[in-house]
Amino acid sequence: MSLVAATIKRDLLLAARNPGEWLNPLMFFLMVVALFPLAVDPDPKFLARIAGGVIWVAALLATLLSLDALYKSDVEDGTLEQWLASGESLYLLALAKALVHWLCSGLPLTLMAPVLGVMMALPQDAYWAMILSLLVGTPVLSLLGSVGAALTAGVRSGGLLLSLLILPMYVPVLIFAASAVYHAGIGMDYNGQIGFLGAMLALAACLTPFAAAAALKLNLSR
Amino acid sequence: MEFNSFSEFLAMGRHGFYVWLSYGLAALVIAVNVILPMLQRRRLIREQAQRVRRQQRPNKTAAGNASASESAAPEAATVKSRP
Amino acid sequence: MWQKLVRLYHRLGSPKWFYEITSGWIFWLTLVSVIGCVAGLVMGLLFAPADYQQGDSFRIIYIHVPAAIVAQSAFMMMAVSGAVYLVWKMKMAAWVARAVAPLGASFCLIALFTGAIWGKPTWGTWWVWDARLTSMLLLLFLYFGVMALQRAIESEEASHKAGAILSLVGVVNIPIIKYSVEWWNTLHQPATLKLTEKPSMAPEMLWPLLIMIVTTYVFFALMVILRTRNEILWHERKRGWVQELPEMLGGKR
Repeated sequence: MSLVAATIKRDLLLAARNPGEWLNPLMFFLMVVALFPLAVDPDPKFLARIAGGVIWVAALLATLLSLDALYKSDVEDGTLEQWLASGESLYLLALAKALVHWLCSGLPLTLMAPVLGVMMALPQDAYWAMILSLLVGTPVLSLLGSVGAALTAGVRSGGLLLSLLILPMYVPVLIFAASAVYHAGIGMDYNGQIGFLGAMLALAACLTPFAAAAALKLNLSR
Repeated sequence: MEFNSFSEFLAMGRHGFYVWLSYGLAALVIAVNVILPMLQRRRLIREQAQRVRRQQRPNKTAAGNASASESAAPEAATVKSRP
Repeated sequence: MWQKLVRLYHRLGSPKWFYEITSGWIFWLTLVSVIGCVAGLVMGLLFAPADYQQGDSFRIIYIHVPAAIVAQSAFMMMAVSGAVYLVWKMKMAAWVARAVAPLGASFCLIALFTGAIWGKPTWGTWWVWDARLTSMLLLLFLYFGVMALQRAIESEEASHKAGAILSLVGVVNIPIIKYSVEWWNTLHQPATLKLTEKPSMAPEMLWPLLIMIVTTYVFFALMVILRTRNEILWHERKRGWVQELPEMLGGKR
C-alpha cells in the first residue's frame, strides 16, 4: 500500500515540477473548441445546440493526448520492473496511475469547461449538467485509457495507436455525456444519463485495472 | 420463380444496380479473402522448400564455405512472408 | 463426453495434429460452402417473393445479415481464443485469434457496404446513422485496433497477449457500445423503416436467409482454418514435421 501512496505522491510531484505535461492538453482542449465557431458557424443559437458535443469531443481528444505519457517513462526507466519485483498488487498500482492521470487531466478539464461553455454559448441550465458529466465521465476516460496506455507503452509511436485502440471504447461515454448536456440545455431531465455514466465509472473502476495490470506485464518480455 | 425473364431478373424491379452492386462488392471481399491465404501458403511452401534444399546442398557438395553463407540467407527469406 | 472434450482440447493444442486433421476437412468445407451458397442464393434471388415495402432491394439481406452476424461472432471467437491463450498459454489459440481478426474485419466491411447500398433505395441516402450500421462501424474500428496493435508489437508473445487483452476488453465493451448506440438512435431519429426488422418473415424469405447464415459460418470456419494453417507453417517452419511435409519436399509444386 505504501508503494501505491508513494507512486501517487511521486507522480503528482512530477506533474507539479513539469506543468507542461498537463497544461498542454488543456491548451489543446481550448484551441479545439475555439475552432468550431470558426469552422462551422458562430451563431449563438447554433453553438448552443452543439456546445455539449463539441466540448465533450474536445475533452476526449485532450485526454487521449495526455494518455500517451502515462506509462511510457515507467517502462523506459525501469520503474515498472521495480513495481513487479516489489510484489505490490499491480491492480492497485494501475488504479493509482489512472487516478493520478484523472487528477492531472480530467479534473482540470472539468474546471476549465465552464469557460468554454461561455465561448460556446452553452445554455444557462446546462452548466451543472456539463460539470457533472465531466466529473463522472472523465474518470472513465482515464481508466479505459490506462489500458490502452499500458498496451502501447513499449511501442514506438504508440500515441496514434493508442487513439485507434481506445476511441471506439469511448463512444458510450461520449453518447451519454453529450446527451446529458444537450438535454439539460433544452430543459429536460438528465439524471438518467448521469446515472449511466456513474454505472460505467463503477464498472471501469472494477475491471480496467485488471486489464491494465495484465498489459503492463507484457512490457517486460519485450 | 419470381421473375419471368432473365432481363427482369437483372433489373430486380428497378433495384438491380443496388442489389448487384452489393453482391459484387461482397464477392470481391470474399474473393480477396480466399485468394490471400492461398497465395500466402504458396509463398510459405516455396520458401520452405528453398530452405530445405539449401540445407541439403552443402552435404552433397561438401563445400565448407557454402554453409556459412547459406546459414543467414534462409531466415531473411522467410521473414517477409510472415502471415 | 467430458473426457472426450478434454482430449479434443489437448489435441487442438498440437499444431501438427491440427494441420494434419484439417487437410482432410478443407475439401468438405469448400463443398458445403459452395453448395450452401448456390442453394441459398438461388432460393433467395429467384424464388423468394419481393418485399411489400422495399421491393427487390430487400434481397441484399441474404448477404448483409449473415455477414453482420458472423462479424460479431468472429469478435467473440477472437476474444475466447485470446483468453485461452492468456490462461493456458496455448499457442494454437493465439494463432487462431490472429487468423480471425482480418476475417472478422472483412465481414464487417461487407455488412457495412451492403448496409449502405441497401440504404440508398430504402432511405434515399447512402449512409444513415442507423443504430445497427453505427454499431457495425464501431465494431470495424475495434477490429482495426486489434489488428494495428498485433502488427505494431514486434515480440511474438507480447503481440499475441496484447491482442488477447484488447479483444477481451473489447468484448466487455461491445454490449455497452451496442446498447448506448441504440439508445442514442431512438433519441435522435424516431424509428422509420428498419432494414431488417420484419414483424414476420414469410418462410420463403426466411429459409434462404437461414441457409446463407449457416453457409457463411461454414465459409468463415474454412477461412479460419486456411489462415491458421499458414500461421502453423510459418511458426513451425524449423520443426522436422513441417520440413518433411510432402508439399515441402517439392512433391506437388
